[in-house]
Amino acid sequence: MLTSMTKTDFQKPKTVEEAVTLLKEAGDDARPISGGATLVALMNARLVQPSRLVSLSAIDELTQCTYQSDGSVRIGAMRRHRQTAFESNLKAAHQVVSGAASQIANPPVRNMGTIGGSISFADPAADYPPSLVAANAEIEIAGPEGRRRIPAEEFFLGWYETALEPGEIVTAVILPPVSESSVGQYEKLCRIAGDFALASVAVTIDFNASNTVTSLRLAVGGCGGGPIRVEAAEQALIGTKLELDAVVDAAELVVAELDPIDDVRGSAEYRLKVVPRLLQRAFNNLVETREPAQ
Amino acid sequence: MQIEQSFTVDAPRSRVWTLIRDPEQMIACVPGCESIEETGPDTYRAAVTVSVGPIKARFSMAIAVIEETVMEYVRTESKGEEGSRASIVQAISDMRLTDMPEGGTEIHYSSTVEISGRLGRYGAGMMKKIATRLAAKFEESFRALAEKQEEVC
Ligand SMILES: Cc1cc2nc3c(=O)[nH]c(=O)nc-3n(C[C@H](O)[C@H](O)[C@H](O)COP(=O)(O)OP(=O)(O)OC[C@H]3O[C@@H](n4cnc5c(N)ncnc54)[C@H](O)[C@@H]3O)c2cc1C
Repeated sequence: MLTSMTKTDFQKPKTVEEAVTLLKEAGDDARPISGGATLVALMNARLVQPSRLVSLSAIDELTQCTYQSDGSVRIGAMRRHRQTAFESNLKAAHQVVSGAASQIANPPVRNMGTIGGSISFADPAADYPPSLVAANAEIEIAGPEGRRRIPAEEFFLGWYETALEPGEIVTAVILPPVSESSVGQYEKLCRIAGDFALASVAVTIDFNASNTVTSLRLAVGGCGGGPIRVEAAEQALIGTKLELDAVVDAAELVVAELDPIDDVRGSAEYRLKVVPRLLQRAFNNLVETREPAQ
Repeated sequence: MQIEQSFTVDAPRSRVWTLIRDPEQMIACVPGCESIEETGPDTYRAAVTVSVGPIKARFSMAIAVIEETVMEYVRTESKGEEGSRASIVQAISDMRLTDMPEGGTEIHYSSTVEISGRLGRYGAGMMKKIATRLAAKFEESFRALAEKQEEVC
């Protein structure tokens, strides 16, 4: 027997502005819904009972992924994981993001889930967050006050909390221009295929003509409340050729910044052990993908 | 789940004590607290919302001061239920105030919390991280309040 039956009002606006107004009108208990992969499961389990659902699926601008004239790529919030996994606009270092998308869950979830929904839910073990930090992405947000953009690093506040204020929605993820020589790699370890990450590593790197690292960004997933970027390790690797010694030293700097918990997927201690391996694997795979092109 | 924390504020112990025993002032400091009303001598009812992602649990908390040494120490027992839902939170919390040699007050806080129901699904490791973050928010707001009031007087 249901102890309380709350009616959920369902809306499907055509513009971002309408969506924001509909959410504002209904207040605290209204929720945007994108793919529904997570929200519908929470509703079925009666963990969340929204008074109003505002579907973002009929808003044209949110369903587009566009290559902008300045070389940046704008991924609309409603883009499904499957679309992002196969996105032809994502080249060079941007492939850290398509790589993450391709490793989310399983095909049904990738057909359903969206980038906007995933980052708004901000599961500490989700795949996009570290990839977006490594890609130096910006998150575009719309709310009653209009639109704003913030770096991915400032968006994920940890343990399911984001920089979204009540009534705000994610409208797009913007990836900055990248050079053709840059590369991106996402490595994920999970207990069984299709599970959330036990730990993951995302890196983007650029090299000069003599294969020396000129820029590098690195973020770890599943080992804290949100993606953890380790600038000290990035600095330690810039100027190297990713020699084994340099990578081992950098991995130590990374491990020192992690804040994992024990959970059903594994112990905190185990996570600290696998991250250096994931990092090593990311660099090995990067070097392999780069070499044929040289 | 055990949470323990201490922090110092730049305000005398008498002021810190007055603030922590004033429900009106605590509403603004306790994260997610919407109201506190006095239900008897040393008993209170508070409405507190704890959000984890899209899940928002609204607890109606009964809080009782079960032991206190004025200006020094207070122990409270809190029990909360969430409407018709099977979410329950229970806590025993101790707060101890000490003068700092250089002026100011140290607030030492420890709490044993049990949560079951909707929020219980997140597991102890994650709930502890979330609780620690809420404690940090309390610290931030409380410090702002204690130090602001100092200037006014
Ligand atoms: C079986 C299963 C396995 C999974 N495995 C993985 C995995 O391995 N890796 C991984 O990263 N993820 C995984 N996920 C999560 C998946 O990627 C979800 O698709 C994603 O978390 C939510 O996306 P969605 O579009 O379905 O969002 P929804 O379910 O529609 O919404 C999720 C939450 O975000 C809010 N929301 C939605 N869109 C927006 C927006 N644009 N702005 C603001 N708030 C918004 C909703 O109100 C809701 O609270 C898994 C999910 C399932 C069901």
